[in-house]
Amino acid sequence: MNKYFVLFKIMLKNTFNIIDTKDKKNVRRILFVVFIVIATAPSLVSFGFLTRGALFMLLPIQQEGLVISLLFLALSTVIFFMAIFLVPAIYYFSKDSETLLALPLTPDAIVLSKFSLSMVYEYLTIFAISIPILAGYISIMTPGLLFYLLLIVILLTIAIVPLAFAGLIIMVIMAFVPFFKNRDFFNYASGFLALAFAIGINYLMGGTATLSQESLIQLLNSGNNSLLTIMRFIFPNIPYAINALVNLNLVDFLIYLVITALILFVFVFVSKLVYFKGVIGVNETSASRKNLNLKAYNKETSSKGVVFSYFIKEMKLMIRTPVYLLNNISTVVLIPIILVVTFASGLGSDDEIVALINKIDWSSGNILMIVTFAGFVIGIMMSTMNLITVTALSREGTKIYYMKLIPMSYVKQIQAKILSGIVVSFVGIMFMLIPAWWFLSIKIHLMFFAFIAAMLGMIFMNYLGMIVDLVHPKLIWEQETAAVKNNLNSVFTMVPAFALSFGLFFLLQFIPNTLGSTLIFLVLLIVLDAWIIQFTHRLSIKQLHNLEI
Amino acid sequence: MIEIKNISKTYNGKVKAVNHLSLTVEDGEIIGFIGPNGAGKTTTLKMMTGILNPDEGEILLNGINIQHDPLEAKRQFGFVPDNPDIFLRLKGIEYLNFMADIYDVKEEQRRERIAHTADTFEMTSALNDTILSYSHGMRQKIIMMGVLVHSPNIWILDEPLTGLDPQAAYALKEMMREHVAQNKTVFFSTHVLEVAEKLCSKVAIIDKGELFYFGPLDILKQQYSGLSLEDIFLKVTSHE
Repeated sequence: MNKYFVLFKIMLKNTFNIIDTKDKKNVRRILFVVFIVIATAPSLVSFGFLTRGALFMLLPIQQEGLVISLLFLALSTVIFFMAIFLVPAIYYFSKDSETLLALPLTPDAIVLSKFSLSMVYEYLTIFAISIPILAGYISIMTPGLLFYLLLIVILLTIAIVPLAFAGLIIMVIMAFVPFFKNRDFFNYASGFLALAFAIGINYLMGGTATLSQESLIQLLNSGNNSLLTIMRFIFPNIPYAINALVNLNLVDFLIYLVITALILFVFVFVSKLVYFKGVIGVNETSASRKNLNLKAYNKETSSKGVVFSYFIKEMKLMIRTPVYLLNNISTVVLIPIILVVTFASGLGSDDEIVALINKIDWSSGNILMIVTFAGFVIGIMMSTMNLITVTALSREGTKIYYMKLIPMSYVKQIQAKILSGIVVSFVGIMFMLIPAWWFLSIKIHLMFFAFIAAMLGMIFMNYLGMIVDLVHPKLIWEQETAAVKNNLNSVFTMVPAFALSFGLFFLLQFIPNTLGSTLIFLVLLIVLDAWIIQFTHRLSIKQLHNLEI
Repeated sequence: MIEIKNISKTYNGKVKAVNHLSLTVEDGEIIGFIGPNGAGKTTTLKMMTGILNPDEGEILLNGINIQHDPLEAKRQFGFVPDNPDIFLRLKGIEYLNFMADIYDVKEEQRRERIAHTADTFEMTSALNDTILSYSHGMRQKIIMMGVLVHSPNIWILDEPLTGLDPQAAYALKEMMREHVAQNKTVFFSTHVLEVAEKLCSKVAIIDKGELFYFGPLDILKQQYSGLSLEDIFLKVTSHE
């Protein structure tokens, strides 16, 4: 246990406490955090008001517990999904794994300290999601001291079970799926297998129980937070946490704690058995040490254009680094697949949004503006989610010096980096647009407008990401995870992406749905793109010239 | 030819890493850049290569100012950093070809040069593996090969012999001699005084950012006759 504390302290310092002694940089860092708080404040405040609005509707029918229930459902699901990406990076692919293996440490000490580190990573998310909602809840319900005490304990421990579930899935897969001789390929395959498994579980077990309309109405009318009984959770401790908070039930609170402790115990026990089995040699790479034959040698040494060669280098580094592959590329492929599978299987067809989508006559010509906006939103969202340009410089870390060393202009280097983001975004966009066209039978000329808007949105967001990383690259890190996961830069593309999406659909009702207004919208986007491209080029020269590491 | 004119660099506005340093390296010279840890060697090399901007002064490489015409100046030299852990997930051959593309090396030339240097450094069978699988010395070799593939006039090397096996170290030293024999320039930092003694036409001794001696080693030895090279170095850098 002693060794666990020492190890955890060091990991914590190493991950979060790499503070430059340069005063100027510290001021900038504080300003950056303040700016992030200000930038995200409006959406957080609106969540609080949304909660208040929901409570005003739920209180008369005595279903106010639903707010807490939905909050915990959201929290546990989000933590679990984040953990699926975080666990392989922290437990297996991090650079310290090999150093730690050489020390006289037990597997559970290593795993527990890494587990605790993941908990710290998750706290930011937990507080960002829960504070506005809880603020709304508390402002209306005015609960007593006991509520606060229970709430604090639950919020501090809620990440344990989702993290342990994700850890268990990944540890077992990493230890027992030895069907690939090539270690690199094995790492990717098991990473994706774990993801697929996790999504599958979430899909099968989450959501609500199916109920007939009558029994639902009956439940609604019976009050006393009866709706809670129909929620189903993947994680067995969550219903007890909800009951404990909503009804201030101490027995349920204790059961919640016991289940949490039990699952943590199982996790530690299993880690003792399987962690070393998976982690030893995980960073080994296969080496053939075979001479290239003449044909292969000539192919490998063929001349490419400078920008293209740089772009290929970017793509290879991204695809071959497991952490980047999982975070930058897999999201673009997985999210459309999940959406398509959900839509195609007809699940959730009672859902209001799906019903609304089905009501629209997609083959009609009168929805030009909606389709164009939708295309634009798909373009910006798929470009935002992959985090490629927004971490393009951060991923270089301290090795960014080579950008200043080679005889290639900063603008061309930045173009090549943006190109890698654009290519991946493009694939993601096509994964969304083609199924949308297929399932909704949208007319091809409408799809053309959606496609153009998506491309313009894609260019805008990729350049915006690059601007953010040019202004504030996160270059001092030890783990590759930190360059993408622990990088707040993504907030600066996510917030505008969501704001633009909601803003546009809000505006839709005021704009005439004509070819003319659609064309004006597209022309405005072209002008915006032209401006942002020029701006990024100018900024790249200035920022990279001044960059010193 | 390298002309360093009165350059200074201060970190955080407090720590003066390099203080009014000036020296000129003529064509056909190998210069050993010597100094204790933290003396300002790497900072100087980084300013010479455009990685850092000097606070004052200027640097000309073959007459081209790195501040005013960076792209053309960067074509004049090849740089080997002290830490070769870069582009680890590229294969050796991919890294070399990337460098060849960046420096516009013609296909025929790059093929011939890569094959030749791979043979010299005994790296032929490792070219198709990722740099991640290389030992420290092999990584050092592939970075050096990345310099040789575009055959620059000036070599700027930061601790180039660290981690190399005896054969590779010998080969590199021979290459350095051949390079200056063609009236080209080598500027390298080192801690190993014997290497400087055997290889360099001149040495530059730097400590606390200031140049204490620049000239042939023989003259320095005459000034401190009877002392070993190590003693001379300790004496010079202790500022006595």
